[in-house]
Amino acid sequence: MNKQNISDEYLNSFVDGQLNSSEKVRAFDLINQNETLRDRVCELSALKVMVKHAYTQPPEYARPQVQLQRHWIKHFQSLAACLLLLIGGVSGWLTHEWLNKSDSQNIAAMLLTSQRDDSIAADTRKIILHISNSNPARLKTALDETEGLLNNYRRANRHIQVEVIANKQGVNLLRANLSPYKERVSLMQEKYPNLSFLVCGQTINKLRGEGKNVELLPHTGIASSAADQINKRLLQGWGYVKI
Amino acid sequence: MKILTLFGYSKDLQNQLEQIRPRLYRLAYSWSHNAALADDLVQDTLIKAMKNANQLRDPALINSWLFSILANCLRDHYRQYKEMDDIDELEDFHYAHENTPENAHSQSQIVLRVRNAVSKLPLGQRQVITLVDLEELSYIEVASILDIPIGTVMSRLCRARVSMKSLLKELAPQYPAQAVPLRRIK
Repeated sequence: MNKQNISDEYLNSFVDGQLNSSEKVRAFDLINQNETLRDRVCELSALKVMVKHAYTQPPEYARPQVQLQRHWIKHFQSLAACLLLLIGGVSGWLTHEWLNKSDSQNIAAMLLTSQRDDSIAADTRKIILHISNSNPARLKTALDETEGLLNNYRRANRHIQVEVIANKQGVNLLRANLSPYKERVSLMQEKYPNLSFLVCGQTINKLRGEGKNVELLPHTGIASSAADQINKRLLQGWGYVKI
Repeated sequence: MKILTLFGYSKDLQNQLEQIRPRLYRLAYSWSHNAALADDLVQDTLIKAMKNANQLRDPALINSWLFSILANCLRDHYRQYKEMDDIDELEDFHYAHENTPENAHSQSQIVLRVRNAVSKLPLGQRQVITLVDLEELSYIEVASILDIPIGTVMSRLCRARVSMKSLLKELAPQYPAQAVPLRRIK
């Protein structure tokens, strides 16, 4: 190879360690003999080091803290249910004759049921649906599919738990002022207690950071981030569906 | 819509993904120069990786596999959200004076200058230079990750480094020529 005519590609390959040993020996010889080549190699090596150094510590993206709105609502509901049952039980006990043993067992069972965090049985099918798109047609498909799934399972008398998580543009589905299917979502929530809606906390924080007013539909939970929630559910053995 | 049934998921994969996450973020940031977008891209990459875990035949190639998923995620992102100019930002840009003390200070910092220069490269060149310099991958691996011929990798890298050299010169702080001190001759 003519030492006056060494291409940049060749020098780049040398700097990046892409030459085989015989080519490398030859390159060393050429570089030792020619000061201009040496300067070019030094320059390329310096550039390589600079690029690597520039990204040693990229700025971290502040991840939002977990917000437990949903859990709080769930506990509040359980507590309210317990209180109601307790009042009902006590009033019944005061106004009627002494309860027999089987009645008290029933009340205890009801109380226990209401105190449970959720009523997902071991054989329940669990599916997490992921929406990241605000296209109304896609959102409609997502709701249609979810409803179809829940209906089929209900008809077959089988248990299913569905969690819909929205991130990116998909959060528009659950934003009070933007959702094209606001009423349908609340109807579905009323109709199917085994359906829950969550949004990605990270997306919400990003939107709020941009100065946007984010108001979510009632009973919408906020997960720390969509990826974390999906990851958690996958580890728990849930099925994952991206819409 | 495809309903995916439960799929096999190993704890090992989970650990590996956790370990490589900072590297994926660094790479995503070097491509996008936007922390929030980089984080989103990494999330999407990890979700896709978990979803398609069965496609990874050789666990030793997990890094390259994840980098290629990341490259696809970025491509999808740019396809879906074409950049638009914000009118407010345009106005700010026109009215803001570039030679502020803050700007001069930041320009003098080598890290920011290099990042700035990388961000000005075309995406293809940016991806190649960061995969080679940050991840120290071979040209063959880069070609396979980005799904381009090895010759294209070499020419993009070459052009990227030539541009980087001139961009770094352009972005270097311009110090005024030193005034010649007056001497008094008696």
